[in-house]
Amino acid sequence: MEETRSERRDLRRALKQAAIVGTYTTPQGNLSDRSTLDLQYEAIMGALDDAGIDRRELDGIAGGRSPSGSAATAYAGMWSELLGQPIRYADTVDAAAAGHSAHIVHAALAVASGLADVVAVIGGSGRAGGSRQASVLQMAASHGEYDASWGSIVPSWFAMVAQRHMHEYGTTPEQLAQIAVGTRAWASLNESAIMRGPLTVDDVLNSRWIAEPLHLFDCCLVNDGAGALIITSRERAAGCRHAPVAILGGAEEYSFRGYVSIEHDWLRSGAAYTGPKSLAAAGLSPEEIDLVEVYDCFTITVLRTLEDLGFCKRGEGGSFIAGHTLGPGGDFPLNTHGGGLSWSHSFSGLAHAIEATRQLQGLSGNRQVSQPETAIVHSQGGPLALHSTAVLAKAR
Amino acid sequence: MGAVTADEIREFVRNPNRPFPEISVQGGPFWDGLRAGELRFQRCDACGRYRHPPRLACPFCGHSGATWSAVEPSGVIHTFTVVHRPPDAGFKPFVPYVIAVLDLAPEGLRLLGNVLGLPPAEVKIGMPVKIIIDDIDDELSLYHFEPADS
Repeated sequence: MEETRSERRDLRRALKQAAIVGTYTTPQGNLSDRSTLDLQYEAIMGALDDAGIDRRELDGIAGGRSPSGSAATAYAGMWSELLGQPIRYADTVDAAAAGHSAHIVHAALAVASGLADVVAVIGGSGRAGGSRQASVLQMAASHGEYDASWGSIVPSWFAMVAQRHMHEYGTTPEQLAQIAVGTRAWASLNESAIMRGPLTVDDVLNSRWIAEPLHLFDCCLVNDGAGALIITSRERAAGCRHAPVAILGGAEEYSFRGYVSIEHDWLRSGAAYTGPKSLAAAGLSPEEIDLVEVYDCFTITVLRTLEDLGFCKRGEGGSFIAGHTLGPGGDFPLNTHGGGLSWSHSFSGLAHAIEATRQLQGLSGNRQVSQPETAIVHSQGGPLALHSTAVLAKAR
Repeated sequence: MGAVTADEIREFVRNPNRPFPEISVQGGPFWDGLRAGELRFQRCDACGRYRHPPRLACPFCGHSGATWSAVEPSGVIHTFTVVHRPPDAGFKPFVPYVIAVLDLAPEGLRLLGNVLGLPPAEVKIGMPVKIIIDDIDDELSLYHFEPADS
């Protein structure tokens, strides 16, 4: 136990030497004329500008992945070539959307250890040169030896999680719908959100089935767009344009491959490790978290994640949601940019971290939560298969 | 609604537009087993536990030796979904259809497939089903689930 505690202290001490200083999100939507690289490049330049850091200081890239899938892509070198300067730190966690919070923690540790001075954490994609259906089929081919022939893959896996949760704990479609409704209410305040119209629980329940028990509005958007945030040292952060945001803790757990493995516990995910572990590193309890930004590919994803992160007990996610107000002015601000459900789902997970940063910097305009001090950001991949968490706070 | 009658089941199973598996080297014996009319899974030579999908070592004890062993073709529905919008266009004529994950008799062993032979609204968690192997063509066999009492 003593050894564990000292490990935690070390993680927090290391992370304290770094800070998030800038963010940027590109337009989100149907951007068929934009390539992934084009969008990510815009995001990096925008985030550097937001931070007030010259592009020549950038020496690290975390996130993104090889556009070709070939082992010989030399992805990190591609960025050096494009930027016209050497990249000296590169990191891609190949864990679908679960990589985002991990990239933030890794980048902070890289800065703390001196591997890099300024790291851009990036995510997102564009569609120029390829169709979305092609990428779905590619995913089916790479994952689907044991399920694609039966018409599975997303979203049926999450629907089966929801079905099992309802069976075990009596969770209701109305409780899931409240997540979509609260998230939409936040999106309605966000000018860059794709879906801003009013949404009620009845609207969700009356929307068409996608995979029972999930309705259309239980499901996230599918769209293009990119975003980036900049991590640098606390010393360098002092000269930046906006208030720095500290990374207090983080943790990762990659439990299984996703749309392949079915022998896992469908009601206990890796977030049950990453939540408590990253909160312990931060020295915070769930009650001390002011903002909750969790990956929301489906409403059930949010409900399950809140349980596993420790905001309520396993099985009590439904009543927890019913007992709180998730939207603006409520007591449990959740996915305050509008999430993947209503804002955009092009780099979900990182978008949640960008939102947490802006809220902690006090830059969220008409959806600004009143003086938040702390935030938890959770990234997820696969059907609750892959997880990383980061705890952020106003830098002190 | 759904493939209920024998004719409807045959049409669903023989759908030429469903995606067919890209068979891996590791997974070959699973598909060979179906071809031979058996449901075979890796069983660890050291601890005796079954695993699926196939892996090069046992996730429970780490032993690498395994024997492909036939399992009783029946199970109980662990969870399921009724799909209305399929990920693959090949399934469009057949919506809504049921995907279920079964608990098989060996502890921890699970299998995913379609439940046919009853209306989707009647499928329940805990329902016992039998696993029926379908010869698709001269090379490939797949399978589906039907209620145990049908």
